[in-house]
Amino acid sequence: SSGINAEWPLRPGVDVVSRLYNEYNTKTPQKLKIIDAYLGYIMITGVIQFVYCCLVGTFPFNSFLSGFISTVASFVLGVCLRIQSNPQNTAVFKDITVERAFADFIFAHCVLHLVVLNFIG
Amino acid sequence: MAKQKSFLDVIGISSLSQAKKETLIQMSVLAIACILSFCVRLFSVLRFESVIHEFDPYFNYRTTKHLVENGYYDFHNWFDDRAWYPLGRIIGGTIYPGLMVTAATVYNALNFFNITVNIRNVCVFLAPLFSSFTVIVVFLLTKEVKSVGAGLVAAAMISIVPGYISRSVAGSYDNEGIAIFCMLLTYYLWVKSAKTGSVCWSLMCALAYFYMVSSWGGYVFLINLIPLHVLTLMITGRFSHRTYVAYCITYSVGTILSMQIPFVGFAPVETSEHMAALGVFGLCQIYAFVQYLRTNMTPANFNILFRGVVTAALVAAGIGFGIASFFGKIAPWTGRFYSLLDPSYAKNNIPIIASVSEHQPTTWASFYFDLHLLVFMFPVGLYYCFRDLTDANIFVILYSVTSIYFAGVMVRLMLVLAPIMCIMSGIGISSTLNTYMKNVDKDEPVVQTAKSKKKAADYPIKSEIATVMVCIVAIFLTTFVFHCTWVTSEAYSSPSIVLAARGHDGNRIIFDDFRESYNWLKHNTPEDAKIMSWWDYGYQITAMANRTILVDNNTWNNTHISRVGQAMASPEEHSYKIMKELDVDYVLVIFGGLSGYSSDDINKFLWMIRIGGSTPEGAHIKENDYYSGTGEYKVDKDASSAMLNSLMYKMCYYRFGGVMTENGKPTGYDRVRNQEIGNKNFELDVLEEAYTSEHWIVRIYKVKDLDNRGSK
Repeated sequence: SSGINAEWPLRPGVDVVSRLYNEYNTKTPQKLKIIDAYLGYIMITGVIQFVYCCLVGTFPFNSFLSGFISTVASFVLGVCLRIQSNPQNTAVFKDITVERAFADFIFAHCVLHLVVLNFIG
Repeated sequence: MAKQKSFLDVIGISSLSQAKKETLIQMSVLAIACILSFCVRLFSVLRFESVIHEFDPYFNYRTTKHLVENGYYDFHNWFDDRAWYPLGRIIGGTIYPGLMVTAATVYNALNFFNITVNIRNVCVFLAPLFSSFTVIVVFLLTKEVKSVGAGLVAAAMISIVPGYISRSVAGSYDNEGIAIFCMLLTYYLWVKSAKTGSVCWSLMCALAYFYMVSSWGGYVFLINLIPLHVLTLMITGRFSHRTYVAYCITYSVGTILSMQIPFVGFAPVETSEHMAALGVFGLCQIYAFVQYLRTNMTPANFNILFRGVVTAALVAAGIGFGIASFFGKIAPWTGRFYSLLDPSYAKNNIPIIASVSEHQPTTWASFYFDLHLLVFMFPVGLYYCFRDLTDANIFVILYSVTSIYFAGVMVRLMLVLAPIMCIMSGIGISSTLNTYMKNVDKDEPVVQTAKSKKKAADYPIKSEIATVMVCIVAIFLTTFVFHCTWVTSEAYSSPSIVLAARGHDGNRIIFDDFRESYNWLKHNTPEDAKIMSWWDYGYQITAMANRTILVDNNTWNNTHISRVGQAMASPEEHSYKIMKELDVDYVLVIFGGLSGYSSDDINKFLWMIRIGGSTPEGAHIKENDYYSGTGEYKVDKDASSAMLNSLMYKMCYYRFGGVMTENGKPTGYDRVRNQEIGNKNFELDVLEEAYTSEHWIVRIYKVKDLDNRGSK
């Protein structure tokens, strides 16, 4: 390696991110990776809606809000499911089994989409 | 020798296990508290009749009748053309429908089972019913925060505390009657979800929040308190996965639910009052993500990533918020809520908000009057909360501190303070009794050796001190009960629409002037007659007389109210022009000079002058013109000419100059102002007297038509 490396600020950053990615790949169980993929998809739909709104304008505002809040709430519910299914967290969530977490997830989605349907106009 | 059977053996109680006995005691205490809270609110029904009180409840009653008769879609889309003539009012979009929908549901449920209760009775008794539910919710909330014992004391206190009774007596059919129940239910579910971290409880909390938003504008308090709690947990390092789950679900689902109420509309994403919740939501995501990274990386790597990302994010957020506020995308705090932060704002800028008596700051006397013992037990409870800090305790501490501030700014918000005072006092009293009760039956201490003197918490005459302390607490609680019952009976049980007084021989005289005159209006005026009165009486006139009015208690249009104020305060000729412009047929004033009723229009006249003069068309109305030469507010011969010639003066005192009101005083003696009126014999040019009620409290005048052939 040369003396003063002009890329010094970047090199540790790139190192950190690649190490993070490797650890994530090896250490995370399959179930959580599926949930993470779902979360990534939700985030993409949210970003698309927001960009569309910025381009086209906010009319009708209630439709935009209901679609956008639907993505935000689905994302949050997915994260909560991930937290509650993570075997590392069983000490934090006493009495909440993985099955109960999934059942709550479904119930919450029913209520959320009922409201979204009502608000979308 | 047969064993003697005691009474308890006979009814089978002594054979129960300890746990079952405790449950039995809990259930009976709660049941008695619920029944008590319902019964203590019935004073006015027993003394007068089952009638709706005050002013605002009449509007709620009228809308509930409309909902029950015409169904929900009609109610949701209702445009009322009988109020705020000629503007009308969009009722469907400017009310909180929770109260009406609740009453209509109870009414429909009862009628479904063929229990035919009148809608008026459902409305009158709804608030006491919900106060029983509040007792149960307060018990559950305090049980979550502290213990069952504290819960029972708090439940017993909330059933009779005057601060809550004042807005939930039978007949007071107002939003606060159910809003307090909804608020405490939301808080209970929030504490439960923050403790368990379960998605199901958080969803229940969001649904309860929706019910709260539908019932009262004070929901803004909740949507700021819950994020404040989460922020405090973050700062004190108690933010866990449970809190994340609880807050994120409550906020996201709760926000979209709250936007379903037309009156709230898009406010949760546009106004400053809701920005704190949005900010904390974003902060939660960042915090949780940071925690996730921290657990999966070495500290050194983490720090590098952390510093870079956080600086970028903070700068972006700051710029974004600044731009949004500058371009007006985020509305600033509205007048009513801004005046809570800056109490002098309303007085200087918006006279209508300042004139409402409920919006005045609270006096110390009010605190003691409404809360009695709780004022002293509250710091005790606060101390015990601080001693064992948990997530739930932090929440009640924040709730109590913020509501003490708001209750000090506005009298009306004493209502929000009363439940938390009960909870804190319940914790205080229960902890105090716990400390001392176990010492009451101690045996005499044995002779002290050197060793035993080192034992902690051992002091002489332990049992006697404990007995004295328990007796003191018992005396406190007994005086509390007497005070609450007395206050409810004397101060908070008057229907306002019916007055009563004691005659010389002790018999009761009823002043039913209001209903008498509204019924006269209903039967003796054409259907499309327009009535001008001050805005206080608008709701009652539309509900009972069923006539079109100009201004009512909603006070949403300051300019229109100011026009009415100008009509009342100007001389007859000028007023006639204004009244013809507004198509007024009848004018209604309230006059207390004969009966001694002090909340009449002459006492409110100064506010009419101030509001009338606050718009450009009222520039000729200056407050100082209406004071006497010495700067006092007078109606006798010292009164200014502007005062003596105003339409209000003439309407109130027409023909009053010849009436003998009290022995030993001249005729035309005003019993409220304690002055003999200045201008006694005058005629009215533009009005003619239509009706004066039995005790001269309500006076109705008909506006004369234009001359047939022009002025002479």
